Amino acid sequence: MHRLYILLLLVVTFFSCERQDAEAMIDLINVVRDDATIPAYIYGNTGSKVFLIILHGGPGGSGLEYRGGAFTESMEQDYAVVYTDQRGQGMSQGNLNPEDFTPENLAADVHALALSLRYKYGEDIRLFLFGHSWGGTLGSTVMVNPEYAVQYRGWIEVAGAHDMPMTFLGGLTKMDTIAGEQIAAGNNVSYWEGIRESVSQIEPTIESNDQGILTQNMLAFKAEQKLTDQGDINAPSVEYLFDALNNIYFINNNITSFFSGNYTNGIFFENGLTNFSVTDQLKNIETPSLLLWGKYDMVVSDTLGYSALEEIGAEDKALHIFEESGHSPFVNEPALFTEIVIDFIERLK
Amino acid sequence: MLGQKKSSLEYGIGYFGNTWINPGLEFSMEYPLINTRTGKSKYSDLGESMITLQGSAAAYWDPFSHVGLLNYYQLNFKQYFGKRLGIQMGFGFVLQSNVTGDNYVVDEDFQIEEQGFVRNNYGGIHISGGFFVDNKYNNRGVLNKMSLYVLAPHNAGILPVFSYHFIYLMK
Repeated sequence: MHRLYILLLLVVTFFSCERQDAEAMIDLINVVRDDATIPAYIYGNTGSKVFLIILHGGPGGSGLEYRGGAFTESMEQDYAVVYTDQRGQGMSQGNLNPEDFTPENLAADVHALALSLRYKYGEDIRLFLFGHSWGGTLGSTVMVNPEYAVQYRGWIEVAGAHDMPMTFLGGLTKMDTIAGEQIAAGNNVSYWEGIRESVSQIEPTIESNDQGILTQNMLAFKAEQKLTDQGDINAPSVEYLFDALNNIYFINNNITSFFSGNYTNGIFFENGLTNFSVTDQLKNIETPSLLLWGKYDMVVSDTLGYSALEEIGAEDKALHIFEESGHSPFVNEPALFTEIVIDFIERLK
Repeated sequence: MLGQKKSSLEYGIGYFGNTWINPGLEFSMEYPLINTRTGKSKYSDLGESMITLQGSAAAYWDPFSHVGLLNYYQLNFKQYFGKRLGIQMGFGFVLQSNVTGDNYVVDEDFQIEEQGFVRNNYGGIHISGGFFVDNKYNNRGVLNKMSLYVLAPHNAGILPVFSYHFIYLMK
């Protein structure tokens, strides 16, 4: 019988272990809306009354993937940072209807989260919305809706794909341009000639071209890695890589997150995400907007940044291009990125 | 001393892990339904291979999102090799409830109601395979097995979940 006691002791010991990151988390709340249970992990300085909601990329990513490195470390010192898993992604749950996977419905989820934060922390909290890549698609969909946008002091779009056709076509052009520049400079000529050749074989049309869109996206990430190897794009810090791996493998249940995210990504594209665009509604955005893009971003090119700068209705708007960054400038140039974001928030909080 | 006695109920308690970050506790019972082969002569009351019915209840803990409660029922094929070592393979179904706390339920008009707990229910199929080692008296043992269960409808689709079981057996 003593063996059974030993076994029980081991189980109890295992349950009593807590990971270090749990100490830093302030709150985990779940927003339950339209059959989905959507978690939001809140870290940092809630006493500041300033909350930065981070919308992850994908579709198919997760909120805590963004918690790492110098950027979020600095943000959490000054503000509360809200990392949320979107509907059907990360550790969100629910028995959901595939037809509900649209940017508009997820924008309503984000609005529900904003209201829930006010409910919990008080009406006087000041909210800022931050969207990266697909999170920029979603955040833009939130901000073009005046009923939702009124909740926020500022909108920070980072390499946001708020216009899917422009994302694809702009990405092709950007890859071709950068490849041409690299060939002219004599850098890895055969590699960049290969990229040019691959780009030329992709049909530049949206309709019935899912494979072309997927190929462009994969090529863009590969080409950015090449630029990182060449030293044109700053490599992620070891600290960031450690944090990212820790969050992906030891904070989230990565198997659940992987399968959920991939499945949901497919549903979004079946629901017509390829043609989605809010460019013609950007004039509705009256909220101060900060647009942040990497010069070498071939996944969501700065064409979208310049377009958003022109189209957004707010007078208080600015675009910053990071000279040594690709698709994720908060990873490539975290110090400068953090400085610009903090300046923006401090001015408007 | 081969195999398991006919009509002997085997029960076990042990570790259930839905990946390494979701530790849990499992309780299971297993009953031999059919002995497909028995021991020779004086060991004829012992099954060397058999089909069993197993019922299990498990609870796991995800420190950052929810608690999962599972019930699964399955038919196993169980085969002894030598005196102590054996394999077990099974197929059945699973019911899972995930419970989350600190919930804000938001309705169509964006009115908020705070709720302590919300439960999401899923069903699915379950397959598993593993090996066990009994002690020389066949009255204690340990079972190691991996299982896959496929939950639906989860996030508008199915969700494959892998788990590891380490169970202390008593007969």
